[in-house]
Amino acid sequence: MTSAFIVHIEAVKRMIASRLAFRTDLLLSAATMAINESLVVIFTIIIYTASEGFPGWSLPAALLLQGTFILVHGIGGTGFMGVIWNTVRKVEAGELDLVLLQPRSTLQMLIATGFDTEDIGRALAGIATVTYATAQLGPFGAWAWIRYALLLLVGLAVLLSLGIICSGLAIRFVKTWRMYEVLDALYMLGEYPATLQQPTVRIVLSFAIPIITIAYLPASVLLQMTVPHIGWIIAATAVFTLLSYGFWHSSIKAYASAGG
Amino acid sequence: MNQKEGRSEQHSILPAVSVKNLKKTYLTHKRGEGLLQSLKSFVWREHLEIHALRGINFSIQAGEIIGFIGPNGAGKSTCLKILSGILHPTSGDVTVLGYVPWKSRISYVGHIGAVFGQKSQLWWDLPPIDSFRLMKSIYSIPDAQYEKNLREMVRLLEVPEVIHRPTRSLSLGERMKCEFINAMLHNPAVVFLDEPTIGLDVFAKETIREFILRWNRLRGTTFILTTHDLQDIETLAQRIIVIDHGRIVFDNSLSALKARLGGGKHVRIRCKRPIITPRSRAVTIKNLISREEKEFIVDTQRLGIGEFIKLIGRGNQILDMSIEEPPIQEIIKKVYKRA
Repeated sequence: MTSAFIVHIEAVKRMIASRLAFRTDLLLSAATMAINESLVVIFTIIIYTASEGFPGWSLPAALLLQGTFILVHGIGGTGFMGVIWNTVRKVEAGELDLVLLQPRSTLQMLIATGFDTEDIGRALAGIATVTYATAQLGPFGAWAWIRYALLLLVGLAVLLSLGIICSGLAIRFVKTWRMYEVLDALYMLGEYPATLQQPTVRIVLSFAIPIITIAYLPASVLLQMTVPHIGWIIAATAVFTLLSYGFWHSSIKAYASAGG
Repeated sequence: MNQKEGRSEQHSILPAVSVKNLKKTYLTHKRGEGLLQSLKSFVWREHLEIHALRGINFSIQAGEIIGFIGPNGAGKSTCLKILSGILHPTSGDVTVLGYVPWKSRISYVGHIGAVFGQKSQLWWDLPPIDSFRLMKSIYSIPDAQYEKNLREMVRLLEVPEVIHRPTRSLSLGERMKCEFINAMLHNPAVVFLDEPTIGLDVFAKETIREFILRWNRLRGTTFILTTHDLQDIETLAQRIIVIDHGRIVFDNSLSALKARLGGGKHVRIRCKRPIITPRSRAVTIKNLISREEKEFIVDTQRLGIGEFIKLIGRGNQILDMSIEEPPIQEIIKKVYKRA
């Protein structure tokens, strides 16, 4: 376990060092990502003030929801969502063989070497938005923050599972770049209050693909809103994570490598 | 006695690699040419079974250097991918160092190494030394072993400064030398080499070949080499396995292959006057350079080289003569043609 952690850190250090070799690119990418996400927040404010907003959600509460979404997206994008492009690129180039030759978990190596410094900008934008929103809404007690942090981890687990599923699909079907766009569209649904969705969609987003855990669940709990069946939603997340892991393992067993 | 000791004791008794009736069949789809056929294939695909390996058998002893050769699409890479644990076979038994490669991948691959001439394991934007340190963590190499192996390989491959320069700025030869270090820091017992000298200049090729031979002598490492560069085979391989259409068509030493298919020695002769060709079924003219200079092929199984010299010396005044083995390319071509 310790050894796996060390390998992960060593690989991440090399990913950062690789990006540091091109300073301008790194700074521009991170800044672009931060500005991009800040624009989303600005648009939310414009839409919110020019319309009826989200029923039951004040502007700072809506910003907390979106800030949480951006934060989870930023942490996931930096830490593990690079597994998707890393897998697609390696499968296309026939380089997954090289990862399979290493005496480590292939999934872990794909995650570690997919570490993406660009998304740090997004995570920082998320922290800024959450800080601003909670300053307007607060103060919150320590227990509220602990529950918020724990639910952020649940949201990250769902995001990781989606990344693992896309990685498995890349191993099975090779060219799956569009899958990332489908995934993007899917988890954009997590950017808005689940109460706005149709009941059937809400059930799907709660129990089948628990997208609502990404932002709606932690934000609602911090705001002390009632979320029905929260225990079942977390259980569904655990099942979803296990299924994604199982799918990935069945995909790597079916891996056919490239000719040569 | 610990587990590692137990395994190495087994190595001296059992072959390092044992392959029995290994078969691999791929399912792929057939696609015609042109847009219409592409559209048809988009809707309905005709599936094809490709028999990459059709029940092959061989074994390799620890410390051997094996040349694994064959034309493109013969099944070499498929076989090596199964041996290295990347692919699962359709059927058959394989053990390498006592492991079934695809069943216990993580514990198994810690004992093997691989160098691919056309794929890099080094981090492109970082100096090779950074990749080596990552390998140290991945393989949990003890500090002392890492330092010793690194020092020794850097010396043998003559790359003391190179390892501190970004990989992307290295020449192909320098990069390949570093690929070797990267793949062998953990003291693998078996190393798979897939075209390790492809595209290299003669000096780099020589250094790498010398390195393989020395490492094999010093450490007893088993090397399994696939290549289209037959000079690699001549210099390195103690034994060659020729595979074609998924079957092994030859498995023996290069000298045995030459004896079987060499078709005799190549003798080039220059005389003072036009050469009178000896009348013998064992002698054929390969090359008519001039009336005074010819290259013959002498079937040494029918006519000894000494007898040939006596025969040709009777009617000719020889000025110069050279006797050579047939070029390996020609022998290998014969093997492929026969298959």
